[in-house]
Amino acid sequence: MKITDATLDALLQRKAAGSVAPGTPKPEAFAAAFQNALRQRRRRALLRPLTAAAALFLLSIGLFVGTRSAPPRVPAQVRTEFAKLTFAQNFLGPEVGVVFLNDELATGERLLAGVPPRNRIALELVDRRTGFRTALAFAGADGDTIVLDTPQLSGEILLLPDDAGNLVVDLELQNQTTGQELRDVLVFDREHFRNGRMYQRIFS
Amino acid sequence: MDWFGLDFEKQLLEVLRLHLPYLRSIAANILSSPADVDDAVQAALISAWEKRTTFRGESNLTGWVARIVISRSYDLLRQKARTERRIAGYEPPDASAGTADEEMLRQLDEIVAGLPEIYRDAIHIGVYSNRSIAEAAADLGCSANVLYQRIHKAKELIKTEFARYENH
Repeated sequence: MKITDATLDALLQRKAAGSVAPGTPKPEAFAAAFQNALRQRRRRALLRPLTAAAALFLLSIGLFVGTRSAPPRVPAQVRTEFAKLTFAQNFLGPEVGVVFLNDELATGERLLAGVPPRNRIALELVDRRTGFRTALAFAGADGDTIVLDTPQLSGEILLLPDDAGNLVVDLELQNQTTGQELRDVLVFDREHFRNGRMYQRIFS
Repeated sequence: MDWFGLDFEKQLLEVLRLHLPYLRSIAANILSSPADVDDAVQAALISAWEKRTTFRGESNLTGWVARIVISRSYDLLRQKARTERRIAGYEPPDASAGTADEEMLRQLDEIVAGLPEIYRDAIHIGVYSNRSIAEAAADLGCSANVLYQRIHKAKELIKTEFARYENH
């Protein structure tokens, strides 16, 4: 509708008049919650080099074992991704959302922190136009949401079981370094998890 | 060097102590529930701390945090909208529901959310927040004259978008 200056000003004034937030939380309580959140982030930041070193160690071990043992049921590359995920999750705690983006650890929040993250997923996303490959690995429970807001990666990963017993993974991520958006919905049958396949998704 | 961000944390705590109602009012113009308002402000403070190396003092710290509150509030609004769509199955809003005024306010909210960031922030901090023009300009790191121009431009963009609503 065509809106006059007077009508728009009146609308803006109504919004301005209503801009008093309900409730009056004490700044001290707010400050305490903020400081607690910062303590957790500092702890993760300090642990990140240790986790990366541990991941590198596991990768080395995985490659060594892979060349010397009988052909495994789960491919070595996937076992390495899963080992990194398990180590990082155990190290950082169940409330932390652990995501590896091209071998770089990004941490966020798991909304189902009290439920063990039994679903471990390793993906390779391939851009059909550019051939650009992105490796993504994460772990979560059925019905879980991993929320990320880091300098490398932001957005959400949802893991929702469907009526057929499959796991629907909804990716809504943005690679903050490259600006690339990673948006997709993938359906994993439970056979995938038993066989531990690296799942490759080609998108355009 | 503030290696662990401890000095910056103290500065943010001071902003929180002095300006929590202001920051919450910004979020309340975007989000409807008090819990979401507080979540958005907390998320903004944490983001501000994480991005502390990018703060170059072009505006005052309160204004910088206020702009992050706007971004985080819209992020939370979008996240909640996505969750609600997944739960309920998306249904377009019933345009006939509510009074004409409420419908216009809803459209205004949508239009402001879609404005380019500098104009969106000018509306939230320069118009909605009830700060004086001098305070709002300091928060945005610009002169009062520039802020007036941004608000004027934002209003032109809003009127254009309202006209588009009529044509759909």
